[in-house]
Amino acid sequence: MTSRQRTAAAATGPSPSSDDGWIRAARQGDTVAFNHLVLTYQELAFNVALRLVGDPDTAADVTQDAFLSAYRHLDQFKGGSFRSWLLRIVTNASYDVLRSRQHRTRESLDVMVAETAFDVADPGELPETVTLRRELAEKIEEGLATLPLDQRAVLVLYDLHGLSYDEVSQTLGINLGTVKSRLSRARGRLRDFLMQYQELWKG
Amino acid sequence: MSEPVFVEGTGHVHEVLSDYLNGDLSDAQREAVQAHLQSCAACRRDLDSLRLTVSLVRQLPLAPVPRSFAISVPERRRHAWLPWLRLSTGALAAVFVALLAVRLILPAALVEPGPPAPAGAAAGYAASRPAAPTVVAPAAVARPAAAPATGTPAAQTSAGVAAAGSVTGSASVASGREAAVRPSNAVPMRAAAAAARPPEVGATTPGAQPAPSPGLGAAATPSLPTSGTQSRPASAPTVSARVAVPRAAASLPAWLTAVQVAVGALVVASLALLVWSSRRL
Repeated sequence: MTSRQRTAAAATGPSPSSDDGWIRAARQGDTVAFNHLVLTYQELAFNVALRLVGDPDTAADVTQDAFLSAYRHLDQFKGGSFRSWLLRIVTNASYDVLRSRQHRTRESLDVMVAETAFDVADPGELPETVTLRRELAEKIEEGLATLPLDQRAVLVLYDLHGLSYDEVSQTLGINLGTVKSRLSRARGRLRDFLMQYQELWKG
Repeated sequence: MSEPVFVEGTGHVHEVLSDYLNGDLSDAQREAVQAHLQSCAACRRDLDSLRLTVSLVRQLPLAPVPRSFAISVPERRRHAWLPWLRLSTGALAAVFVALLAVRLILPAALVEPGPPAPAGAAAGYAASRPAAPTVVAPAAVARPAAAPATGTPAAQTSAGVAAAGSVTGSASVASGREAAVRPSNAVPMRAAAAAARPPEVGATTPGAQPAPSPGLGAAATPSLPTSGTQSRPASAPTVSARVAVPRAAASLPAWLTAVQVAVGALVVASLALLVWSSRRL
């Protein structure tokens, strides 16, 4: 991982308390205040949508719709983690898109994140390392895409974006036990997939 | 939780390694796992690969946002067409009122020349004549029934279609018909005519709902520009509406009423749209 890249785990946003002011103003209809929240969470929202739906264009549509919906239904946010509340809208919108699509084969769900998330090489990095890293990232994304949706969602939220059990539970509307079991299965499954490409990570 | 970490007597800890990595196990359970790992290579490999997988996932780079997802005020977009809607609704309403005025004035203007009509309508009248007597009775009966319902657009429309639809033709037919049935049906027809009239009058003067009685004729008569049996285009509408009498020379008023109905419908639809949009904003 280069120092220039931000890992997905870093896209968690600021502490909940700093959102309160913006949320209060946005509730009155202040779109400028709401757009502060958009600025804070759009990277996270987009990435979660991207991991769930697979392609960047659909993910962008889902993200935009989710923010518009969040603005319109701000009165339904009763406090707590705004991030969880927002991501709930994002994941639900993603599920809706996937459900309405004709079932696509896993192959076509090849996530193009590896291409969109261009890696910027550190000055001292060897070209071979960059290639290897990109290939590895592609394989991980490929593996993520093979996971069943409910397992993928938990893995993306907990391991990829570092949300707490509580937030994952709130976002997906499932209890703690379900979070843990889905996480366990997702990790094992991804691990099994990656085992085929051990040479990529042995280096 | 205090359940044993070894699953189904296999003696291995695969199932709990994820929790173990997360630090979710109790002290006792964690120690049990660690003790097992020391002697079990398979579970150690399992743990290592799981740990590596998780760290690889955590190192995945973020995809940059393709664009800003800031929202623009949705309401402004709606407001863009709102003034146009208000303007067109007002214009349509004005057209509707103008058409209504035309429809009210036209019968009076056309009735003056009266006489030529009967001759011209002879052909059409002849066709309707056999049906006229039987028709008038139900018309007379239907009129009182229709009278209470004058408030409805349907009644107004039928009255409107009647009066405006074929002023010339209906006037001629009316006069012709009246001539034929006058002896026996003069009173009911007049009542019918009077009853038919108020619905129209009611359109412009709300509240003037007719009661089905001869007294209606007296009440309605003053409002008619020319009284007299010859000037009962309204009664013709009743019959023509019921019998679908071919309107001989009724070209202008026919489509005039149709246009007015269409404009009226558009006004209603525009108003509904305005109300809906104001609720949504």
